[in-house]
Amino acid sequence: MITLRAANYAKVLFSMGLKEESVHESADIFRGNKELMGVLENPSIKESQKDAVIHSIFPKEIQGFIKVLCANRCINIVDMIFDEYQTLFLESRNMIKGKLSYVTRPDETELGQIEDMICSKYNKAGVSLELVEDTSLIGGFTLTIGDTVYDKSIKGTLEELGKTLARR
Amino acid sequence: MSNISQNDIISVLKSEIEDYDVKMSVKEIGTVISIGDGIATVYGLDNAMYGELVEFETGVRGIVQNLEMKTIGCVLLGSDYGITEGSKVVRTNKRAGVPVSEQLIGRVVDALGSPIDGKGPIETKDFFPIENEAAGVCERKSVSVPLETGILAIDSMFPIGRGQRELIIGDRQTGKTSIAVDTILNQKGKDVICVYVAIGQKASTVAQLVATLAKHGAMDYSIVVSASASDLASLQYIAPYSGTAMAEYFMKQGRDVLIVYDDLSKHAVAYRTMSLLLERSPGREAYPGDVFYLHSRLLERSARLDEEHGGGSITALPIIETLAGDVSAYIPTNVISITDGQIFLESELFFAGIRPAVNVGLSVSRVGGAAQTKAMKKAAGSLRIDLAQFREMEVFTQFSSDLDKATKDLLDHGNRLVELLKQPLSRPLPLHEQVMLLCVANNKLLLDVPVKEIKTFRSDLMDFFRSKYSNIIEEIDTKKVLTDELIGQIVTAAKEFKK
Repeated sequence: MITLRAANYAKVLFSMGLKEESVHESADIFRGNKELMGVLENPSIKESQKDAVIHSIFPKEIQGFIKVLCANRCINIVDMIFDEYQTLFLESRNMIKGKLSYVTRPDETELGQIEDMICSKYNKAGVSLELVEDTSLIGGFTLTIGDTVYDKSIKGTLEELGKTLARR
Repeated sequence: MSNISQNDIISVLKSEIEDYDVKMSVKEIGTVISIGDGIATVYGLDNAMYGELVEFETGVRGIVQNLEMKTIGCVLLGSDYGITEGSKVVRTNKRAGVPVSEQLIGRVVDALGSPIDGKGPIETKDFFPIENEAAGVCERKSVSVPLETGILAIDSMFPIGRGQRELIIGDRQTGKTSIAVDTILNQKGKDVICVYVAIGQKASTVAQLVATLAKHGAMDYSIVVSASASDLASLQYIAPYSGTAMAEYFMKQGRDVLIVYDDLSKHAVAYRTMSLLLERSPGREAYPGDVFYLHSRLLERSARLDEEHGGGSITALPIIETLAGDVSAYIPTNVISITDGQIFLESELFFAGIRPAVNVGLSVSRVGGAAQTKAMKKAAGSLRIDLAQFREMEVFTQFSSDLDKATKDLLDHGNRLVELLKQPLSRPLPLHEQVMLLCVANNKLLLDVPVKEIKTFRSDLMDFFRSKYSNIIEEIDTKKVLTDELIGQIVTAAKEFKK
């Protein structure tokens, strides 16, 4: 989920033209240290102390941005900002994000076919596909691109069949 | 259901499963991020359209009302039980609508068109969107056919035509609903379908009304759409639009429909509730900015179509409840400006025993005059002026002994007219009766009848006409014209009765 405020911060971050690695590294630091968020969010900790933490942990070019987030008390939405940044980054490279949930992992050829299908359907140059194993699907797969879900799973089929029978 | 055996059910299930075609389903799915008070904020669904139906995990449906950058605001059309933060929401790609068919006649349904009268399911084939575009300029025809209410005070002074929108406005307990119900009762045998939309009323009141309609055989041509006070604000909001969609179904078949919205004040309140919960900016009296459009787009759907488009019509009788007779409040002024006239009912008149308590000075019908029958037009000729003059001179009644004859006659005549216009509930008068009574009154034949005896005089006179002069009744009903010769006959007959 992305809020409007997070989207705006992401736009600013993207327009700063930072190195992609720096942003990814920062995102990983936040994901790996839940306590860090607590420290940066805590209003009883002085700003100078927070700045010292930021200086010692984050890549130099992104430090200013994180300081602004802390000052504006928006550090709690930093995950959303990085997610939206990723979307903007992919868009700038004419790429799209997707998520493939499966029971049996498709082989490389099948994955290639899926990626080609997505590229031609959405008129994109590439796909950043997240692969997730989900046994609750029973069989088959689901593909999520944005809000659209392509469902070819046994679970989805059974649900549809249930609805059809209930309607009768 | 009891005729279906277990084997039948199993065989149906088997065939359904065998024939089931496994396809890849493509759905657009969003996620609920907040829910409360019948409003859900959904993240995602970027392509959702305003007014589109969405379906929640629990099977409950909602209507998209707010489109924001990353989220949409939906109003739920059912219970929010089981819907939590993170629940999935699916687009249906359909606009909200109601199932329609001939079978709706005689039924009581909710705002979504589902029966609530316990008489079993309604078989429907068509589906009409609740929000529909009103008929265009070229599809319309001017109002020229009367829609008789059966109420002498209205048919004579504020005639309503088929396709007209006439507002019934007044304080609580002034007989607004009674006028609408009497009008429905008077449509018996006139090939008019009646739709009564109850918005925010007590369920017991609606039940009572349905019983009244059934008692007089009016349910044979009526549909009752009920969104009672206990229903969600969203259902109260869509109820009049659903009722209009049902009316449009019949209008498009070339039939005449009468629709009563009881009442639009509560409808505006329901919309205000919804809008405030959707975080839309409040305006005057905390109503949202588009509250005028809320009613104008609803009432604009009432029309009389030309022959090329079937020639059907929707006549609307919206009802507005005022507070302490204040017609200059926000919603009353809005609806007054939208409609083609208003019947203003007053508490003072009501408690003085003048029922229907129509205020002759403030009521008006802007287009109905063209639809009035020639007979009624001629009979009602100077009625409004006579009553206006009477009201002006009424204050002098207490000095009656010192008044000149002309003023005294004017007051006497006025008093008798007021008495004549009184009409009990559920007793609509046919055209001929109205015309003959007005004719008798205009020829000052009531002046020597004591005011208290007008009621009995009137019913005895009509019995006399029915038994002895049925030819006059027949002529008025068939020709709908009041010739001087006919006036002469009525006057002679009335004089004969008085002897």
